Amino acid sequence: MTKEEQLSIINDTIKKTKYNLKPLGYNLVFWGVLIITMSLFHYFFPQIVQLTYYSSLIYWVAIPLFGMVYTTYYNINSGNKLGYETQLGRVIRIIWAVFGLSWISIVVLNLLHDSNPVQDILFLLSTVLIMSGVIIRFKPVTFGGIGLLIFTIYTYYVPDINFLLVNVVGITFGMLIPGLALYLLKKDE
Amino acid sequence: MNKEIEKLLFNPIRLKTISFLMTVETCNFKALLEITDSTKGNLSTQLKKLNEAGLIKIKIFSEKLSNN
Repeated sequence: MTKEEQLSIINDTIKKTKYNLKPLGYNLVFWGVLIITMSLFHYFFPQIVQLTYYSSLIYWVAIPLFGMVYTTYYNINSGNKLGYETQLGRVIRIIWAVFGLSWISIVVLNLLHDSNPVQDILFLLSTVLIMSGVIIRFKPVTFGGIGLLIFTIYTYYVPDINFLLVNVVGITFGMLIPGLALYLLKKDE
Repeated sequence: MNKEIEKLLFNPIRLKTISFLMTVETCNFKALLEITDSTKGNLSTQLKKLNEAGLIKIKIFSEKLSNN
């Protein structure tokens, strides 16, 4: 085997390594649909969600926790199917795992201080979206994150804003639409 | 390059394996089979040699999942 043949083998093999973007797109769409549906249900049926002092808390903690279990299972499964994990995939996985833990911390801290966690969560989500978009070099996710960040900062200056509608608008443009664009993308990087 | 390593990587299956593993964090046996276009027996032999040379680390999770 000549040096040229060796280089050709190395080059061809490296080209076969692809980071599968579909699972990230699926995760964004799943969470986008879940959060938007939950927000709209809460908005239109507050008498059900806010039946007792703790019912809305259970609603906003228990369902997302089930979502976390489901997406963790989905991600493990899709990773096993692919058969390998790229360095890029590992970085994205760690970022979103840290986001999940931070989300739980924010909910608990806001609960203890009797305040609404929506703005804090959206702020954190926007930074994670920007990071993910930049890392995978996918502009819709980056711009979705930037849009969400600007929108979240704007909500701090609007008094008596409805946080459920903030959730719907922010998640639709920051997460659902970029997630759909990523999920429907045919080429992997 | 170390002569022994150079000799080891002269084999196309071993060269493909090392090139691929340099770009990923972890990889299972099934994926390596596809990447190297090799047979199970041949790949096992080449992986054993790479493992003995200390170039790769093999983890076997269970008997049922031994292809990982």
